[in-house]
Amino acid sequence: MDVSGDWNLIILPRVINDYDLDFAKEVMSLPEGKTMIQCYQCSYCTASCPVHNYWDERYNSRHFIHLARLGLIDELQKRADVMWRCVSCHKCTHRCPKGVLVEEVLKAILKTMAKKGLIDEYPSKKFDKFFTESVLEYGRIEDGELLFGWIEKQGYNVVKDPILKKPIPFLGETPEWLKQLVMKPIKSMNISFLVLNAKHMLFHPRTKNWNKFKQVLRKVVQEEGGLT
Amino acid sequence: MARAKLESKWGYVSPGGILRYPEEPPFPVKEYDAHYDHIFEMMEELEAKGEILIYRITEEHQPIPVYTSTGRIKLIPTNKLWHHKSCGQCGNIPGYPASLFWFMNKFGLDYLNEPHQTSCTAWNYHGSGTSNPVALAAVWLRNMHQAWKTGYYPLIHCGTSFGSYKETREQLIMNKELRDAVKPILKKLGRLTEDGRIVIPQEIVHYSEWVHAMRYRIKELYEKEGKAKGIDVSNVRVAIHNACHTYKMIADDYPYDPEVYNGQRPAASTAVIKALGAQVVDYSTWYDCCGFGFRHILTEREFTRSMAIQRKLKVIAEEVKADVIITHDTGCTTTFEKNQWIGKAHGMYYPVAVMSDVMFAALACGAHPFKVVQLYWNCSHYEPLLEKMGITNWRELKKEWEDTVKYISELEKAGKYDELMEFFKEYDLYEPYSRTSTGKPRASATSNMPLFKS
Amino acid sequence: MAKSVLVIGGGPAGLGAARILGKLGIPTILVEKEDRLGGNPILNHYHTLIPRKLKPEQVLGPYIKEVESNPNVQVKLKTELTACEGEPGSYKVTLSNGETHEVGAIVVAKGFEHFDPRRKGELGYGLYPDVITNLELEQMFSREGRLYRPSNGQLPKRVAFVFCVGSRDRQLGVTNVHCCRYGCALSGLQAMEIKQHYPDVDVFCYYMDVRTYGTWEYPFYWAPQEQYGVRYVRGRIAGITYSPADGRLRVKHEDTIVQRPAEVPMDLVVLVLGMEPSAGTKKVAKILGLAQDPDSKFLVPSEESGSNIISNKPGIFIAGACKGPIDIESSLAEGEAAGAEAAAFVGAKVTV
Ligand SMILES: Cc1cc2nc3c(=O)[nH]c(=O)nc-3n(C[C@H](O)[C@H](O)[C@H](O)COP(=O)(O)OP(=O)(O)OC[C@H]3O[C@@H](n4cnc5c(N)ncnc54)[C@H](O)[C@@H]3O)c2cc1C
Ligand code: SF4
Ligand code: SF4
Ligand code: SF4
Repeated sequence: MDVSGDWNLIILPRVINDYDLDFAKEVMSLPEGKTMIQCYQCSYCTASCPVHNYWDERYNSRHFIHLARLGLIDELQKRADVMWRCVSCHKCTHRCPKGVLVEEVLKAILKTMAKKGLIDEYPSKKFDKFFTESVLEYGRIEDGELLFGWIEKQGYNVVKDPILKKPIPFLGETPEWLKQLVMKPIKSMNISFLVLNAKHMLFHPRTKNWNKFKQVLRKVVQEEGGLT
Repeated sequence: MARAKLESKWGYVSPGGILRYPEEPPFPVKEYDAHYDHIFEMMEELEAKGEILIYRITEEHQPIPVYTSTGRIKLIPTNKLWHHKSCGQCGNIPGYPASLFWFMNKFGLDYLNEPHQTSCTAWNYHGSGTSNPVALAAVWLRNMHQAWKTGYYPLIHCGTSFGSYKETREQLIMNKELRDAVKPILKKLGRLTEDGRIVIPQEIVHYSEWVHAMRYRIKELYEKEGKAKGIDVSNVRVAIHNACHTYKMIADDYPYDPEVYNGQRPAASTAVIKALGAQVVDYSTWYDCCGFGFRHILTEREFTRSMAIQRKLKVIAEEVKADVIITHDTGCTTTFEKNQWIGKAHGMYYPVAVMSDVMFAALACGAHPFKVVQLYWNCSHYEPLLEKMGITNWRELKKEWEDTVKYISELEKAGKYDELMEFFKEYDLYEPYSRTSTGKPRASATSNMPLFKS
Repeated sequence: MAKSVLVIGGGPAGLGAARILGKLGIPTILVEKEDRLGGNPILNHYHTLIPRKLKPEQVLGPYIKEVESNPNVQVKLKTELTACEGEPGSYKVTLSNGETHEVGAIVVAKGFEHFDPRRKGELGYGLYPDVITNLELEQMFSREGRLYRPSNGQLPKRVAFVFCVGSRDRQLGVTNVHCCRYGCALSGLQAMEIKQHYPDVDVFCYYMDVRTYGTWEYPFYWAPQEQYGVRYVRGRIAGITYSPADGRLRVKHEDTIVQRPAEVPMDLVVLVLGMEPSAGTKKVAKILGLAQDPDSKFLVPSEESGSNIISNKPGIFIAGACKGPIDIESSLAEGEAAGAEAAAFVGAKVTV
């Protein structure tokens, strides 16, 4: 009888066979990654970190630094799903007894991982892109479009106006949480404010002369690497 | 107690003489002040108090001294031995004990192949943890008492029995509760001395220690008889696997020798292979276990096979390309053997011959590869090894063995037991059924208990 | 004239004692078993010393010179104490050269011995040429002035320091459970020296705790990391093996931070040796009836005294590494204190 249930299984060793020391070199070649070398693994940062404390203990700034310094890539990747969770409160950097700029170092680690294709682009970065596009389009933040455009990206069936092909708020599928979120304040809101918002949602006002300026701005942002 | 006050242990002999150190450390020993060795003095004290009887090694046992990892002198009895067999060995690798008996016959040594013995039950203990120190001690002491009654000194074939017995003895000596608990049981079994004492052997001795102690005589035999048959092991590349339960369990009580890695690794097996002039090759996972794992071999074999393949077979193949892995315990031998084939299905096939030190030594000394060493039980590729050793006529030898088996079974089928017994007298087979403790010669190989029954 | 004082051992502690005794005008006999003064740092050719990064000759040279040139101090090399009789205040001592002397007090400074790493078979020292001791690394620097792998003479790409070899270890029995005190700091220094001369060599320190106590924290722990990129990995090395496949060593450990086993290739592995009481320390303890720690056999100070240089025997003072691991500066200072105590004991009247 085979209690383990699988006669044909081969277990691969979980031994670490080598370090990838180039990884750390790359992190530390970035200006924000330089102080990584100073860490002595005391865990003052992790103990202070809200994400570690209240979200997921696998989010551990100290641990990420150790893994990055030895280049234990597979271990970093195991935590890829939580690595983007930093809320940038900088408590870690504020507390570190060794003067490590922890928050910055973590960004450098992520950047290096992303560059090497070791981690998926983080979800919030997708939103950042969408956000940037919206600003570039109108020269201002268009709340309704941003919100419902994003909702569409999340896979909801929204209704679009036939001319501009922009989503019309609340006409199509809307997530339940959003309905509730909107309904509560709406009851107590000034009617003229609501009308203004509805108008903006439909007619998409732009900053004056925006079309010309937009091209210049897009070029600059692109050159700065802001669109990648 | 006396030992703790010693300035230096070198040159020390305990009052009762069973703890002895050489004048100088034979190699840089691990401990200056060995806490384990101290149990020998405690045994002497318990004997003086009348609690135990030390089953001593005497001249009659023709002891040969070896060193343990602490530099202690351990006496290895080489004659008048009580063979304490291994469950897995007799069934899975019959050529293993047979090779040992063959040597003893060759050297004209006296021994007793005793049917009145039990399993040590340590496999159960390690496999499921359902035994306990009292039960283990009772079983061990029962067997030792039996050996003592016969006047033959226990030689333990199995690495796990050996390790378990060493551990049990330490616990027993250190803990009065344990002695008090086990005594009534032994009394019921009639396994105390007449004056109510527990019988504890002076040394617990593994067969690999016997091989180690006898290595120069084995070498002589190789030079005289093996080489005469055209056997030459000098080109054979040997990877050693040391069994966990022989040298990691009660690590202070296993042979070490300046000639084997400066006394830094267990000496048994390696030393005899070196004495025979074969090439011992070092590989990076030498210290790893085989994966047998007691429970694992029964219910979690994926661990056993993965470990055996990836931590041992693969490493040995890639790093040193050994011709043979030499073991000195039952579990490791079977594990390395039987798991090679599973690797094939996974593209992880690293073929290498596997056998114990005593089997290899017997082959080198000219023992019959099939009649004695019984390689037909092996499923690893031993043929290239035989070729390399100069046993190039193995095909004929195999045929000879097959014919013999056929002949025996014909006699048996025809019920010609007397003829069969006559045949065995002539037949150059090892003779394990020489005597039993009941005094009846060859009690087992009779017409009502035929040797080969299908 | 005041009675004379016997100082046993010509290492840092003995030198400290003999120097101050000579300065105070006390007739002093300094016996040293070897053929020169200076103790382990000089006899064993240490390269650069913690904490000041000076050479042993720079630190101990002036002491040796002063002791050798002071007419109050008789230096007896290749000499040992063989017997001692009498009372505190008038000990009759016999030396191995046959001489006998009457002395008022004795300073014991017989020092330590390096742990023999062959006793830890799993570390492969003596089996693999590229496993060396930190002492041998010192000597590689001081005698040959370069870093290389003994197996092939080439520069290693990676070097590992294995902390606590022969220290903090009950496998060795009860004798070696103490911390060596100097090992972490010296490794930091050696690692920095490697990086200064060979910036491309990657250096790793495998530790359980890093004990660079007091003011040694910055120069020997922070600096190696921050200025030289020396990597510290937490986990005791449990075995060193050799792979014939690539000719490199493997350091086997658990990275306790990652909680995973690791066997990382290394080209040179340096064992950080523990300290044990010297054979002389054990011998002299017997001759003089000095109290020893029952386990480690280091000398222990009197239970009544708050000072650690006062022995259990009146008129006998103990200093330096014969009492347990210690650094050179402290050994010198203890020797000086013991010398001053001895001077007071024999009733020296000192005028300034
Ligand atoms: C590898 C290593 C590196 C180190 N590096 C440093 C460092 O960089 N900085 C630092 O501060 N510390 C260092 N230390 C510690 C330093 O070596 C000791 O603190 C110092 O040597 C202790 O001085 P000591 O005089 O007590 O003993 P020792 O130096 O051991 O001197 C004892 C002397 O007594 C002699 N002796 C022994 N037995 C007898 C006898 N029977 N009769 C007569 N004489 C006898 C010996 O020959 C020896 O000369 C290091 C230690 C080691 C192991
Ligand atoms: S607080 Fe600073 S030194 Fe401590 S673990 Fe975090 S980064 Fe490292
Ligand atoms: S900045 Fe990020 S990593 Fe640092 S404490 Fe805040 S959430 Fe944690
Ligand atoms: S000083 Fe460092 S290396 Fe030496 S025993 Fe203590 S912790 Fe280990």
